[in-house]
Amino acid sequence: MRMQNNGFEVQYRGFERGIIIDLQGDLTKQAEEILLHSRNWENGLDDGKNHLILNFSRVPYINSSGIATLIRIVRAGTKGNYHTFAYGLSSHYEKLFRMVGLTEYMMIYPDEYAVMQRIAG
Amino acid sequence: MREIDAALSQADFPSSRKDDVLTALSEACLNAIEHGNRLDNSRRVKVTMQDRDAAIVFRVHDQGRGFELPRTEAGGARMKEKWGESNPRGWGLFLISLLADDVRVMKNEDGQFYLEIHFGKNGKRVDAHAK
Repeated sequence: MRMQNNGFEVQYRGFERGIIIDLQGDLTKQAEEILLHSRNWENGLDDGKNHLILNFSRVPYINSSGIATLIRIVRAGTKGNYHTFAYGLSSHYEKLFRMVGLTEYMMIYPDEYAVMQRIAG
Repeated sequence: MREIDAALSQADFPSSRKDDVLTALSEACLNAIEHGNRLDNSRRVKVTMQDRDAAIVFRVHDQGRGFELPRTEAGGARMKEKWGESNPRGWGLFLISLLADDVRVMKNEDGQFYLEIHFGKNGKRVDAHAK
């Protein structure tokens, strides 16, 4: 499934134990509509899946509004019973995520293969 | 931001901190547009850059009424507080304060407010009071 708003778009891919969200474009306030309002994250992922993977490899820019959106999704994982993973982040954004505490709730890996290995393990 | 990137390259500024500068300035400008100028298209945001001996100093001017910088020394506590909010916003200033060496809200001779952001050269943190 693919959704788009103002140059930012997401595609959802399912796998046995979770879903992958391929993010594309700048992650700013405009992305909030697509990411937050398209589903109630506190209800969890579909079909009892409990692994959410965010692919940032095609996200060139993230601002504080985008970070706020990510915090709400990640935080909802506690009620929604899912764990959040991420890959494709530059070292700079990984540092920003660490600064705001996102890395306490979101595990960051270099690529999709590494995340899948972690989940399978 | 392209102009600032180019200016930093000419100013002998460590490339390892360039992304910090661009992020901090981007957030400062967003705050200036949204909060300082209240999204009024007729109001302007001005960014100046000064290359000093030990630091690069940016000033972000808007046409608003200024604000009080939130305390950052209790960064950990402030962060936990924000995570508990139902709609956790306002990370811009938080990031600016962590990425920059010093941040101050100042007023110029005309009574207009600006945000002054300091980045030390040569990887050294600077005190805004130093010349």
